[in-house]
Amino acid sequence: MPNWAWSGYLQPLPIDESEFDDFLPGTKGYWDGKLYSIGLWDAAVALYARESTLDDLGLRRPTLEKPWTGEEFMAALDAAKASGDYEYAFDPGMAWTGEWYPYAFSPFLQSFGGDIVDRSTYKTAEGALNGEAAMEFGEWWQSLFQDGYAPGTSQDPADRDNGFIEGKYAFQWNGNWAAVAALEGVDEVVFLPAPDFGNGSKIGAASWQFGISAASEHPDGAAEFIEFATQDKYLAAFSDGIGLIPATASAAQMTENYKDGGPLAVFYDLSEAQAMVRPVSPGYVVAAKVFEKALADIANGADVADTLDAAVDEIDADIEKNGGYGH
Amino acid sequence: MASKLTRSNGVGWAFALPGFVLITTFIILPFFFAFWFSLTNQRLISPNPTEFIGLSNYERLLGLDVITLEPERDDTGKIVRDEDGEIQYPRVRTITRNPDFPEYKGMREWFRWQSGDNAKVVIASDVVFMKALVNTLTFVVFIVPLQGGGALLLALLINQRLRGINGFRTIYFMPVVISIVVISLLWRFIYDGNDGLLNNILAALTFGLFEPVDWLGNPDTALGSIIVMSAWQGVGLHMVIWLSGLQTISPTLYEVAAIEGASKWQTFRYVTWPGLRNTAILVLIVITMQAFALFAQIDVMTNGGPLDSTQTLVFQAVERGYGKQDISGGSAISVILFFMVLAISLVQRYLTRERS
Amino acid sequence: MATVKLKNVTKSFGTTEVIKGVDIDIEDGEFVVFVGPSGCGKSTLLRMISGLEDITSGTIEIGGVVVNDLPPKERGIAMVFQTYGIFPHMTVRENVAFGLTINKADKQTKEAKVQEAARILQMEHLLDRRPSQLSGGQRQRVAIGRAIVRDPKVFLFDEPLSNLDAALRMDMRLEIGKLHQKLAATMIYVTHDQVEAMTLADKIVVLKDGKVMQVGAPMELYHEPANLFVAGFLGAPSMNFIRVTVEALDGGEARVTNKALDPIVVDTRGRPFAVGQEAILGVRPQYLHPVPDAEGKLHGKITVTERLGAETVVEVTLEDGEPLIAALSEDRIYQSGEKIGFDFDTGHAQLFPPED
Repeated sequence: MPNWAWSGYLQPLPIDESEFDDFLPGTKGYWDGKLYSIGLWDAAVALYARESTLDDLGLRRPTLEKPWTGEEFMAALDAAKASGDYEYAFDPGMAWTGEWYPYAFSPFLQSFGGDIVDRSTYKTAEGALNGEAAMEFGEWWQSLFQDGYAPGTSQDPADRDNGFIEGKYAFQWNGNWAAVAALEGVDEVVFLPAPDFGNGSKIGAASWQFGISAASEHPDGAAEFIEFATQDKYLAAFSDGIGLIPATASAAQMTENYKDGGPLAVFYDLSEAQAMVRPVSPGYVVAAKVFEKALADIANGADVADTLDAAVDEIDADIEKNGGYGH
Repeated sequence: MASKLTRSNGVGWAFALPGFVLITTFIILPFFFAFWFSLTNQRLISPNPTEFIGLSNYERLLGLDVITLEPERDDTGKIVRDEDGEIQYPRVRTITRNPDFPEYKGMREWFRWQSGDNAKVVIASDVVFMKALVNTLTFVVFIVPLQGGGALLLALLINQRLRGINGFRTIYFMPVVISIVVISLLWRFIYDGNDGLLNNILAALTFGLFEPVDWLGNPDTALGSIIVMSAWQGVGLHMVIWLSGLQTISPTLYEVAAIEGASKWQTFRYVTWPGLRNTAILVLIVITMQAFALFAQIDVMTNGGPLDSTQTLVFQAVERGYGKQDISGGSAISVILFFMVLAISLVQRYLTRERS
Repeated sequence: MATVKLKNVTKSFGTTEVIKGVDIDIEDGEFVVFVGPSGCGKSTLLRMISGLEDITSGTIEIGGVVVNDLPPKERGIAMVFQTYGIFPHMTVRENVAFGLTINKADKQTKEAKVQEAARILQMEHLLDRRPSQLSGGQRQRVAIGRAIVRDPKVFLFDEPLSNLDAALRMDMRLEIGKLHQKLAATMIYVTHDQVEAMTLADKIVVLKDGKVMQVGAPMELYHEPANLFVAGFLGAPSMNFIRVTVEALDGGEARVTNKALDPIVVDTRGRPFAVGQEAILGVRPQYLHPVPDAEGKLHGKITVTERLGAETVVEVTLEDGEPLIAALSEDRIYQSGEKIGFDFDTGHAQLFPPED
């Protein structure tokens, strides 16, 4: 969205922002202090596991208030690996190339204390993506693959989709859109919050949103439609239809899955408590790609420091080439 | 002549017009655009005005330098070695990220070699591009003999009157008709590191002795795997071209060879191969061009990985131009690729020219 | 040099028999021409001798050795093809030396033999040219040169002049005749052109539908054809066949007549006839002499006159409505529809049983 807004393809929504006060933060697209887009739903990511896995391995059940620490998480993976019951202890989803990488994995980096870019200025990635926290994240990330906890970039996409359900993986890092299938396939599935690597548990936020083209001759009509579509009953209907997290708490109560005690209610809580949007910058388009490649390379054994340095160089060069992207 | 072409040939021009328009719109104009964009900082979408920046896109792609690293020494001046006895060097980033050496800023190690106690390190401002360049050339060098030779072999096998030979022709041609994307997806399953078809077959053939290889996940095997798969995919098309070439060779020439008592190899050497000369040039040039355009397999199967072992020029051009919206950078790669292919075609033409 | 003997040779493609039991004896040094209409099996027979086609049954001997199962190379033959079969990518020299190259002859032998062949064919000045720079006749000369270099026991020619234009064909015909005299080798020559057959052959073999119709010296065949087919095939214009009725038989002679023919007495040459039966009287156009209608043996009206200067060919409609051709050895003018009679020497007339 920032890319489109910055380039002048979008216009700010001619709607009073207060109408969306109760919307999840991840559903609102701001650029330059103005609201450009609004989502009917959000998405959240959780650590899929089985009750029996936790019991068999003797693991503490993490909660929103008290998630696993990094050490606890690695201990859990060790236990799962040692049990020999699984092909891999952890499936981060390397087969899902593209936006999944920054969306799902940059929160780990943030939990370590790093980030894709320095969000205080948005002018550089130096220090954020190759600082000490980022190096630590990188080493950890590499160990997942080098030490055989997780399947690498050549993971079969079919395994990504069915591996957890078939019991090949003990833990899976996956979005709420896959939760319905998991519930059907595994009765005892539990959705656990992300581990805390020192700076709190983080998950990615923001999904598809509505905006209005700058060239629109009838922005009022478009706004009318958006206001209409963002009524709770439609948010709920969307959620029931496609399984994503409704944008408001009141709508969530009207849905099958996300009302209090609903099977996916945990995702609403996760989204509300931990969600962090990806860098809000036109440069994110490039940064995301660079980040994806850096993570794939590190997973494949590239030198962590060199790889992150190169990623920083590329992001910085791009920001410079584009005059700072209007920040 | 010119007046005849323009005046009395209206229908001919009318027939040619759609072709002209399409070629101009989709090939000639974009080429000039690419050339222009490669000299600017054009982004796919941007509110910033397009600026002419000269050759700096090319400089960024092609920047190369060699630095010398001296071994690390301990307090006594002895060279530090790790437990394997390997000499320890300072990290390249201590130079490339050092404000004292601004000329190396943003550069990264491409490869290195040992020179005495020192290490010579080739650093490039765009290592990914360099790897893509080398990979593309490697791909071309292997795919041309593999695909061309394989196709010729199939064509020779199939160029005989046997019951059901058309069935074989169809089977060999089938991969050509199927979308390369579909084929790439299927081969991803074949190459799967755990329970892929290839690993299973090799394991069965060696009674389980074979250790499964993650063909696409291993930097040492990924490019080779893609070469083999691409050769397989394209072999049918070139088989048909060879076949048409074989059928233009007069049967009398084979009879002459038979009368003279030529062996199978001599017949091939003196009759078949010279008769296929023009076909060979065509096949060679077509495969070379196609090989330089390697993209879909990479996009579907490896995304250039692992560790850039399957990066290619076209993949990088698309990745930069559209993925990263850096049209100027993508254009610069395209222009470089254009001149490479042009140069190679000219060399091929020169080497295969009609000598008289 | 060698004799060639074919004994009860047959050839079948699947269930179709194309050569139906052929016996031919060829003397050492003889020039034998196989002649017949297209599809008669003459080329197939030649290819069986060469070894390019296998033999279904019977035996072929060359120089006293049964060659049925020998590959072409070991039969001691050389072959010249209608389409020349010279290699476009080789110079004349390389083409002529092709067999030597295949058999890995050393350089001096090669050069000496090529020079020798070039001298015989008077084409020393062509040796460094490429086939594309040669005329059809020169190309065929190259092919013959290649045959000479092999030093074969038997030369085989498969319609070597059919692709040449008329004037060149005559030159080359003379050339081949001279070559035979020079080399005194056994030569077997296939053609559909009776002029080539008549002029070149020591012995002609006339074939039809895979069977030998007659074997003999050209004049023997011309004057004493053994059957209707040979009679009609050799000579131009073709022999006139006149349907007649046998009125009487007396020893070796028959009296025949029809509506347009006054009764004449003809030698039966031992062929069986019965009184009252139909027979066919063959008279060559050249033997017919025009006389006033009342004086001739044959009676009719002129339909067409073709004046060729030294010769006049007239087409006549006989009184029974059948056509007749006469070739007169002088320039004569006739009116269409003019009544005319023809006289001829009955000793030159042939009598055949009908539909033989």
